Order: sequence, then structure tokens, then C-alpha cells
Amino acid sequence: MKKRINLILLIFLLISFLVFLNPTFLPFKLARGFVQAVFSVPKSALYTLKLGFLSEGKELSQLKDENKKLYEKLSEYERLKRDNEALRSQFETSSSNSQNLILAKVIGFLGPLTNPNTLVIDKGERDGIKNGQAVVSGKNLVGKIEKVSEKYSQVMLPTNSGFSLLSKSSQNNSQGIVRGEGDFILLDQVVITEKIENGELVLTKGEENSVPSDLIIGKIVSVNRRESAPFQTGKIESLVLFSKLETVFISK
Amino acid sequence: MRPKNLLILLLFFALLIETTIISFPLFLFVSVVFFVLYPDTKTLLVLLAGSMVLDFLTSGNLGASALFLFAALLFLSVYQGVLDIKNYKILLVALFAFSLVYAYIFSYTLNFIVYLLIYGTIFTALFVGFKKKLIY
Repeated sequence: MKKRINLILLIFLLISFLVFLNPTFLPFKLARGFVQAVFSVPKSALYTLKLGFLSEGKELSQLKDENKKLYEKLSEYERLKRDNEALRSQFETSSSNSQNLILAKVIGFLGPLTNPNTLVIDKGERDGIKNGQAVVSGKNLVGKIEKVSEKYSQVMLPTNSGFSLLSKSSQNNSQGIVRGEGDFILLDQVVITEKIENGELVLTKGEENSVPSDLIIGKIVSVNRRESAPFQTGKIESLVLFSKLETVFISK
Repeated sequence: MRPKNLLILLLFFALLIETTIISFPLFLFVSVVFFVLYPDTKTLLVLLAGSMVLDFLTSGNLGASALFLFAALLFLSVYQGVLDIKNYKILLVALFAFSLVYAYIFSYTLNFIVYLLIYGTIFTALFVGFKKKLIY
């Protein structure tokens, strides 16, 4: 009896391995689409319930929203200032491309409850979502599309240890790389001769065909600088509370 | 309702909760308990289907959850002679270890203290339950 159950377990292990090797098999794709469609509504309802349960006071929430809008206006002001200077100097111009945005609902997450590192949204291949596309909330970058299936996608947040993106600072235009460190976001590889300050916004630099430029990643809350080192780093705090997001937009 | 059907319902809720509001291997927990109580082919079929649904809902690699789950069940089954898996204390220790490894592989919450607290609470509740003969 014991040997029989072990044999059956081995068979099921083999079946799982075959499924793992052939994820694009048509019946699996059809089943995935069906399951995701069926579970979409209960997941959405449950996630909304969770956000309602963990919500902070109304006044605090309003203040945070106002603060976020002010930072967005500040970023827009900085961009207009740069455009103005560029036009005056007649050397260069920076353009902001109009974005084609798709609305998506957040229906799940991975990672710690109050500090997730991945979100699951209810849009997938069928909605034209592709790997690497930027996910935004207002003018703030939420993350990048990491995995796409029929009707759901995973969004890698900037706190995810696999996250990496070219960036620039809003005031001094200092170039760097934003990386996820699990608990926080790190601005890395900023040349020591460039200037970064506390309170300065960090924006996306813009990568061809994926992440548009001038999206707010966060603000610098601390700078780690040693004159003897070739690079300096900064700790970034996002203006978006990822654990409280209900809807996001995907930039096509 | 029959206990087996109740466990299947519990599996469904574990799937929904795990993929939506708690990043914790609930499905793995319920699956292992299900197998220990009903070690037959029908159980394994339900667990295979459930694992695939779990992968669909997390948009993860299809078959990955099932691979881990059946590897864990095979381990428990093979070492059944050495580890008395029907003893709740041994089962909880095994589940604790499997949960940590699962959380690491699938990027779930991996806070050792939190897992210790959760399993410690379950252990205490079962211990008191058996001691006071509330559970037989």
C-alpha cells in the first residue's frame, strides 16, 4: 500500500514536471484564461475588502493625496524649467510623449503585507500587455510588467530585488540606476562629481519602447557620499503606497 | 458535510486568500494536511488541479507549485517509517520547513519570526486541544 502511494506520487511528480516544461500547451492556455476570468471578480472584491480594512484615517489619506499631487506639479515644473532653458540655449529639447494608458485593477500581491514587492493586476496578453511596460499611478512610476499571462500580469515594484532602471534627479539631472533592495529603493551608481540632495525627486530617464521619461520614482531621503569613492548612493522613498493601490495604468 | 468535501472547500478558500490578501503558503499547508488524512489518488488529483489554479492566479510558472507540492508529499511518504507524520507535532515541524522553502522559492513573505509565531500558535492550540481532550 505504501509502495503504491509512493509510485502514484512519483507519477504525479512526473506529470507536474511535464506541465512545467510545456506551459504554452493550448489546453493550459484556455484553462488559464477561464480560471483567471472566473476568479477575477472574487479576487477583486476580496482585495478591495483588504484595502478597506487596512485603510488609514480619511484626513491623513487626503493629506497624502494632496502631497502626492504637489510633488507631481513640482516634477512638471522642473521639466518645464528644463525645456525653457533648452529652448533658450537652442541646444536641446526634452519632449514628453503622450501615453496610451490602459486601466487595470490590482487583485493580488507577493511579498510582505505592508511592503509588497510584486502586484498582480487583472490585465494580460489579451489586453495587449507586454513584458517591460511601465505601470503608473498619476505621474508616479509604480513598476514594470514582469510576467504576462492570458488575463493577469505581475508588476515588479521598485522595492523588488530584481528591479533596475535608469534614472535622473529632477533638479540637478544627475544620472544613476534605481535598484530594489527588498525593504527600500536605492539610487546607485551616481558619479561622485554629480550632485544629489535630500528631498530631490528621482525621475525615470526613459528607455526606448518601454518606460517613458520623467515619471516620478520617489524622493531622496538620505545620501551616502564618500569623497574617496567614485560613486555615491541615495535612499529613495516612493510617493506611492504600493500596499494601498487599487487601480493602476499601464503605459503602452 | 463530509470532512473530505470540507477540506476541498478549505483548499478553495486557501487558494483565494493566498493569491489575494496574504502572501503565505496556505494552500501548501491545507494540501499536506489533506494528503496526510486522505492519502489516495483522488486527493492527489484534487491537489494537482488546485496547484495549477494557484499558478494561474499568481501568473507564475505553470506546474511549479505542483512540482514543489508533490516533491514535499513524496518526501513525507518515503520517510513515513521514520517520521510519524500523523503525529501533529512532527507534521507541524515538516510544514514549517516546507513553508519557509516554498516562500523563498516563490518570493512570498519570508519573515522567520512571523512563521515561527504562526506555527507556534497552531502548535499551542492543538497541544491545549489534545490535552483538554477537545480534539481526539
